[in-house]
Amino acid sequence: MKKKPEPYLNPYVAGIFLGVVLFISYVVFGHGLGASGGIAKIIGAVTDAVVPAHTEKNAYLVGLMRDSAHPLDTWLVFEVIGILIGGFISGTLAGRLRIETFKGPKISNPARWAAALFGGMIAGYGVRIARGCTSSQALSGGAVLSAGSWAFMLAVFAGAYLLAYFVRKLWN
Amino acid sequence: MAPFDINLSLGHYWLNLFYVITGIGFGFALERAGFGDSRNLAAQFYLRDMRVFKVMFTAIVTAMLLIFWSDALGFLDYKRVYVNPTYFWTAIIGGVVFGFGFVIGGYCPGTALVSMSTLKLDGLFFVLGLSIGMFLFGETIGFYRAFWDTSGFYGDVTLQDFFGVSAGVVVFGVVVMAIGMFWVAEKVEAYFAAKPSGGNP
Amino acid sequence: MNRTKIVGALVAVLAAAGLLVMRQPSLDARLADVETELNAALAARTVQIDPAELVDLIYNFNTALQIMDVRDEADYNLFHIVDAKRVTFEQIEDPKWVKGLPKQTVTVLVGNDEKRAVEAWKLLSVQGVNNVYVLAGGINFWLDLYGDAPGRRGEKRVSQPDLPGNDIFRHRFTFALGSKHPGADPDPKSVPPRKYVKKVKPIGRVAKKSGGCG
Repeated sequence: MKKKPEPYLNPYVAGIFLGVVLFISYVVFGHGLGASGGIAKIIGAVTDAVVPAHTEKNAYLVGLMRDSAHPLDTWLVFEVIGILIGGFISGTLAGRLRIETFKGPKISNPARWAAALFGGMIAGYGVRIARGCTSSQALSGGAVLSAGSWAFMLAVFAGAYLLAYFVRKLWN
Repeated sequence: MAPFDINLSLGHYWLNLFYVITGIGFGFALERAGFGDSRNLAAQFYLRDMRVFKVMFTAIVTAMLLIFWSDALGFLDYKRVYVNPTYFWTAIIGGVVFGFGFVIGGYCPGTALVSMSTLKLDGLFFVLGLSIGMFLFGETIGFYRAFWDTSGFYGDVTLQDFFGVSAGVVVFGVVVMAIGMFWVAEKVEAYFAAKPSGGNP
Repeated sequence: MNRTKIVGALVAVLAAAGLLVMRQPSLDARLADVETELNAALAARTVQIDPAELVDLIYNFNTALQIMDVRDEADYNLFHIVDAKRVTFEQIEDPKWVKGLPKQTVTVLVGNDEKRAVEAWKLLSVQGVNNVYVLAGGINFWLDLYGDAPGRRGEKRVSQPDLPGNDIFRHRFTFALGSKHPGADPDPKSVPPRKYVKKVKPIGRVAKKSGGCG
């Protein structure tokens, strides 16, 4: 019953597809794509809902909420919803919808989950420092030639390559 | 001439719908590229699979050429599109930190969302981690807010501003550089894929 | 290297090279392209700020402000707002001058009425300068509100500007006082309070539509 998963697209073709989506975003909205910002807004909204008194005292969180009437009412959140739907549709059509864990051959599932959690924490922190992630800074900012975005891109590759040797057991 | 002030012309609900549709296209492309699988993403940093680099730079070059040609033809106004402001030091520091998280966790925010959407547990844990990390940032930013706000802030600096050349020169340079690096990437992949363990002990 | 890749690479290089030889469209051409959007903003009066708002901006030390006076030299010498710099259209239409403008600054264009200032606003907007506004009613209206000039001879006082005006300096000065005139720097605490609709958007992270994750 499980469909055999389709192969992935040729990376250059996928890149062109992605580039066209990015271009259309600029034409229609006047700005590029984003992902981490949407997650940030959601986190802010959740924090606000759960511990409002604490949120009020945090100037940064207040600033995050200030952009619009309701923090979840920003384009970033809607785009995140779209990303989830798009990934789901593509995965389903390609027969890749399955509960599983991707990991290196030598570690266990729980170890991989811990690494994903920990890596996510570090990545989440770094993304906020840099004011963007690969979608908004590297791809979008890169395409419109923002100097800061290109600096970010180089720093990401540098950081990842630097640490790769030390965490190779996770992946090899 | 694009970009139009679509907020005025479309109204709230249509606008949000368009954002969802854009996200769908984005997520679809990422999943098709194989980025819902952390192993593909991490392989980039062990030189076995240069997919991340190829997709990213092909996307950048494609969008860049389309944007600048649209501007030259008077269809899109580059001067009025959003250009990420340059905060130099936070870009570098944040980029390196993010790079660390990327190679440990195997995802970036966009790809993690895609992974989560196809029911991958490691993607789910990464997104949870992102949430915690972002929350922690909110908690700790108070200690260095001034630095984060102002350090290395140059406003809307573009590469053409930085190098003092025209945009056309930068575009050409990026294209040539990307093609050169694609060629190198193919060679690197061939070399490391030939080794059974992927070149690392 | 298979043929598709080579073709693809060639197309990209040719496209990039083509951009190098394309000429930038002229300022007038670009202006014509965005005319509709600009006029819509003007008609909605989102960029014309009340003199009282400008006074508040002058005294708000958290905002970087530059006041650009687009009037003739003679008018400028007779009276101009404190710290207003005189700019010419030659400068405004010069891309190098525009590039040298300080970023993250609120710019207010000031004319005798609004016509000339609006023209300058359009030119700056199309060249990508952000946070630019026009003083509603210009200097004529400003002096109606804040001027108690020695040498004035009973000009009519109005509470709303006469738009768009003819950009002729309505007030009479027997001496060229420049910015030494008391009306050039009204003390926000002593002028009669005036309600206005705030139009200036805060600059920086919140001002521009948040296109990134920041």
